[in-house]
Amino acid sequence: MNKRKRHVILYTIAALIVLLANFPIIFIVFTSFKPLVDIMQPSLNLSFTPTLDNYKALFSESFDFGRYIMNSIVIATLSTVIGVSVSIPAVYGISRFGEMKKGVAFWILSIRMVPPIVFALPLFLILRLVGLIDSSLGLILVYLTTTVPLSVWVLNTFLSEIPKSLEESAMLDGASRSRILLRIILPLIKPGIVAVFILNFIFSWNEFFFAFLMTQDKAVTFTVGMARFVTGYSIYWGSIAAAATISMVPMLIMTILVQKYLVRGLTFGAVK
Amino acid sequence: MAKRDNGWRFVIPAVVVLAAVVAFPFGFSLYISFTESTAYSIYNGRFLLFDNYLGLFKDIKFWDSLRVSSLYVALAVGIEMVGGFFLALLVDSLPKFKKLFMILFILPMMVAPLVYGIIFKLMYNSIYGFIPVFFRDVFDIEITPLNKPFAALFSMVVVDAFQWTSFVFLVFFSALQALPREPLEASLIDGAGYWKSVWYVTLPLLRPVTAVILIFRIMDSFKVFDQIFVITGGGPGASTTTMSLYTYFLMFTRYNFGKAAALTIIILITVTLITRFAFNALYKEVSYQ
Repeated sequence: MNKRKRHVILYTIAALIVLLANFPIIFIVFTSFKPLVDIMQPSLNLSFTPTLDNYKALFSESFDFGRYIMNSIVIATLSTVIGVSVSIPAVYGISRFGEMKKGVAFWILSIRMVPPIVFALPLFLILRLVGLIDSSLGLILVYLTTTVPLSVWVLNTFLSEIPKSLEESAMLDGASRSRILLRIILPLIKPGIVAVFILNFIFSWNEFFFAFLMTQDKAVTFTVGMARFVTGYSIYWGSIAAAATISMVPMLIMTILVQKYLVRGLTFGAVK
Repeated sequence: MAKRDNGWRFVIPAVVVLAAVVAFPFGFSLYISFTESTAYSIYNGRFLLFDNYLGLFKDIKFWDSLRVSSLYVALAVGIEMVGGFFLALLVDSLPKFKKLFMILFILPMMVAPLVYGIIFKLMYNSIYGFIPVFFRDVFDIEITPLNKPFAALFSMVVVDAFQWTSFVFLVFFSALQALPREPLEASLIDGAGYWKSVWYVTLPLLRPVTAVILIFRIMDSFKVFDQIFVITGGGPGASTTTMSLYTYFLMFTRYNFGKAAALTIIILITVTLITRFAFNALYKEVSYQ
């Protein structure tokens, strides 16, 4: 087989697998432009007149999707900002002060290993006790269980790449630790901070389980709202597909922005 | 380094946050697991010692959920590891546009698992769902993905595989990109076929990264909740009730907080045993840049 022919075959296979792998995404985007009668048709009917009705209905009063999306944006942003802010000094402390590195680092990593269901019950009961059920603040606090460990571990991989000599020369010049962190370290790990920001945002945005347990009405996020759309008596598949499409698009864009650091983000820095 | 400028100063905010949202709740849960905590006596249930744990070991539903979870994890992780590895080999062997294909293949895992669940709930619908309709019209086979116990569980595995093969692919692919090319090329020049070279040369080099991927997939598929909750709700019967779902039912439909807390502790011990076992492999500083 000559080289050209082999390449054509390879690309054809790869393209077909791309279609198959992304079929659920393609399928739901198409569905979001279909009239409801066509969605519920029990046949392989590919022709339909595209419509925006599903999107219009989604933002009408009966769905209230706009409010869910706003809640998701607020909660994801704040849990990310707080998580990253406490993690930056922490990771500096951990990486630059050898004695405590192993203990604290392992403790923080082990949190990632814990299935969320372990925290679900106590967090629910505690939030109930302090009156934070169904509040954005409550859910933001709950998400810190993930955003802090994630930030610490991913930032750690960026910090470990900065040579110590840089810092030592600054210390000889009389700079304090805090000054070094702000003036030298922070600018150097900027790409890491951006990456961690996006990774945390994606996590909080996609989260369902905690949001489902801890919210009822006021603080409902879009994942919880969508789950309600499909467990009701009548299922408006068109609007659900539209909601799915709207919720996916920002994530897909962020994925492309962060793809360079995705591996270390997803494996907690175990693989760079 | 100078003792007076102690690093703890920098770590304190994170430690305080984690103590509040992780350590304290965990301790609280551990306490509840030893008491008869229900909706009427959440914080001051009678002290039972190990009765909740013993009760679980006698509870057939607990063993069922353990069986469902184990089967789910084994099938899903198996499919994803094999699929992701071959996909990584394929994209790695493309002469051009590797990056483009990489991005196209990682999209599924960035979608909310709940949204994937909803998409498949529509596609699995026995009347107008795409998958039954496709099999009926194209292959003339009647399938009902969610009606029979094993079929339903396998349908859940399919959702998992559609979403998380992309994770396995991504990590394998970036590892392949970072591997030195010489050993593989030398083996090919020596006349070993492509697959033989992959088996004897590439695969052993990928051993550490395979361990990491395996740990993460086992951990994450073990805690699956969203898709199953929205597609089958654990049914038919208890055929898709994983340990996470069973815990949820104990908590929020039966309000048996004590028993639910005990179950979460058992889940935690199970997962910790697996990860402890694998932690050494994790910490061996595998760097593929």
